[in-house]
Amino acid sequence: MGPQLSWYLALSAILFTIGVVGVIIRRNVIAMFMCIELMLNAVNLTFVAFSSFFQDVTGQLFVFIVMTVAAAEAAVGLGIIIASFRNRESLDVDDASVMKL
Amino acid sequence: MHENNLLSLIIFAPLGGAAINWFIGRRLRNEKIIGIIACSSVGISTIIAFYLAFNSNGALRSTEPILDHLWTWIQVGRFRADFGLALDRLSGTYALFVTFVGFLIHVFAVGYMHGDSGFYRFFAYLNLFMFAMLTLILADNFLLMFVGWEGVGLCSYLLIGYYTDRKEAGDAAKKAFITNRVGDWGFVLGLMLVFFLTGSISFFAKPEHGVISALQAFAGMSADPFTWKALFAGGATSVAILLFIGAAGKSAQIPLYVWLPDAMAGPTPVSALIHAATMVTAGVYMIVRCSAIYTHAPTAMFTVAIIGAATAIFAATIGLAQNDIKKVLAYSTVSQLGYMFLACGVGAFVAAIFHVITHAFFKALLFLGSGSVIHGMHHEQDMRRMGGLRKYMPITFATMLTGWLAISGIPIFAGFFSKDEILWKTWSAGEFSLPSLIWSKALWFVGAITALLTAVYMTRMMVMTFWGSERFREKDIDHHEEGDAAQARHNVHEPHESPWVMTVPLIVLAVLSTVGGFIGVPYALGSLFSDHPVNYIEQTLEPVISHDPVSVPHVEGSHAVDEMQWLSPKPQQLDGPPAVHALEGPEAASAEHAHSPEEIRQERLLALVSVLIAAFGIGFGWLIFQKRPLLQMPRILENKYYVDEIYDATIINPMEGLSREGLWKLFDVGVIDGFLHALGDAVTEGGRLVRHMQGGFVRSYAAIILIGALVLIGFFAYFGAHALGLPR
Repeated sequence: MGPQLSWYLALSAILFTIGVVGVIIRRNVIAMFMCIELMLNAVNLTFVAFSSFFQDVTGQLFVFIVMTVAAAEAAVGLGIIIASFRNRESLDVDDASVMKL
Repeated sequence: MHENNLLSLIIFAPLGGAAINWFIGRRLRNEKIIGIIACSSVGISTIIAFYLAFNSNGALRSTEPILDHLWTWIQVGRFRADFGLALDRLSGTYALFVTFVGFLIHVFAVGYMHGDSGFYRFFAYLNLFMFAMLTLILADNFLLMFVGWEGVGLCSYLLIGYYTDRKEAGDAAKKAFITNRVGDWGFVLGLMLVFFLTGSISFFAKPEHGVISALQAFAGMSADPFTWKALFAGGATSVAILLFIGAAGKSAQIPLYVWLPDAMAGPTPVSALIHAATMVTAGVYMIVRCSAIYTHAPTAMFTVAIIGAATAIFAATIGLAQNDIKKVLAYSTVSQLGYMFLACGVGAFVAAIFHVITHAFFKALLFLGSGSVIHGMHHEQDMRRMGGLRKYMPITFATMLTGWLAISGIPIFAGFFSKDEILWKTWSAGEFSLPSLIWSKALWFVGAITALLTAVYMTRMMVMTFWGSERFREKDIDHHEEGDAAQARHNVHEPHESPWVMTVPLIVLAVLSTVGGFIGVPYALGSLFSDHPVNYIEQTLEPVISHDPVSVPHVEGSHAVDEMQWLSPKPQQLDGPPAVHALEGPEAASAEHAHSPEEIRQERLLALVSVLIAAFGIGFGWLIFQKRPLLQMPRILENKYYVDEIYDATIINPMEGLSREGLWKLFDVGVIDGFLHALGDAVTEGGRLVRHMQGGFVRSYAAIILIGALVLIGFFAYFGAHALGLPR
């Protein structure tokens, strides 16, 4: 018995949940950032799985869009993190609880 | 009926003057220029009014009014109000003396207000007043008249409260404004009832605009019966009584007269112009304009006569005991206005207008004279601190002398003829508006007593001011109750005569107060000196007023036979033998009938009586007050019968209490503020509850997003997508 669709979906759900939990419980902004990427890639996995299952290329096209957006988001996000770190000398998000410096 | 667009210039010239002075007067900083602008704008009105009244086709010669239809103001369904002006014999007569006396007072005010910081503002208000007053007079319908009516009320308010740094001036202004609101309530209701009954609010028929005359419609109705029920029947009597409430407010009749004496807090030229000569006679004008309504409402006429007579004698007694020179004149004005309403009430509309005109001359003169005295005494108004001024102010003294003789009713002077005319018309009033003929004698008696009192208090005023010892140097007066330092300091000044801008108007008005009465010499007196005496005022006005169905119009001269039926329709017959219509018979016969030897004898006798009354009043006053100018008058009179206190206790204080405790503390603070505070508190509390969501911690935001997503997903997982009820 080869790999079923449900296996991929289950793996994707596990990865997504790890991402969610990581965002909520981790205080290190880099770790949270990585967890967000993890969630995006969990979604990407479902896209690819469904694309293969339905023999439809649209899902795979969508994955490229998501990866592009994720790259852009990573660039902007890391820029913000660096700027924030320079000002606060900290990567703890709970230190950044007010808008002003 | 012809159009003439010059007419609108009469009202718009003062408006232009007001606008110029209001907008650039402050920057001009030049009293001469401001004064010239103000006086010349009224001067333009005066010249045009005289031209339109007396040119070959003028309003006072023609049988038709001069109309100026500017624009249609409101047209809703059958209701139509034009911004249209009309100059007929009545409004023409009024416009003449209003513009002329107004012009003189403007000139006087240039001198009186010299050096005042609000000079430009004063003249802007004064010109605005002229605009409103002339709109009131020249309006061709009730609604536009009401615009002028409110306009003069507003200007009166602004000018009474002109001295903004004095609290009593502000209080007096508010009192005048609020008291007038009571009257205006009656006016507006009357106006609505006129429209309801006739479908028109126009005074004149304008066929080319499809407008009928409301007054003609009333004239075509049958007269109301003489019952008190008619007051509430919603007919002509109700209209008349509602309009009279308006007139009583504006013209200071019982019970709404209380504002006029207080209005003396304004500058003296204002008292002369607004509170003596012009605005306060607007009520008389309105009633005479609506004579077609009043002659169909005997109950209302009787009420007017009673209120007028009561006001006349009531105010005269108060005038006896006042010590402020302007207060004496104020109560005198109220009293004389009572005379005018008495005349209206007995159907002597022409006599009322005649008295308005002569009163405008001599009362404006007396007020301006008192202004000159106050000016010369450095703003001292208390007569107890005057005395002996005739040496210091000879011109003011001489001119006020004529005003004094005129108001007292000494023959030759203007007041004699008009007052005598009113007394005679009261004595000889027909049965139409009186329950019985005894009433005419009773009203005459009240009028005669008032004439006596008038002579006495005017003599007291003159004696206290111009004769006797010179009390202005004395530092302290025993009777002086409120001697403050500022007033005491004024005493050291010597009184001085006023400059020519103030004395020239006085002299002109003095001449008019002397000879002004000759426009209305009654036949009985005129025939003593001439074979064919002409009573100009009666000849001019008789065609434009209505007569009650019982009495016979006494029209002199041949003009009356003209077809002047456009406002004065033939009298309605009530009962009894048909009244002989003077217009129907041959001219000679009608003249004979109008002046039967018996009536002429009676009228001459009554004239003699009123001369004796006046002479006695002056002599009596002279004897008493020459010796003791500071004679203590009865307290109740000095305190004005405590009417202000009674009003305070019965109306003002309960109303204030209700407003403060009920409306303010209970309703405003409790209900309105309470509701709003509750709303605000609810929002605050709600915000306090949910503000923890916005802690600024990124992870809690993420958790909230997660919870939201779980709720949404859980909802659809549990209920399925059908739960939204969307079409597939």
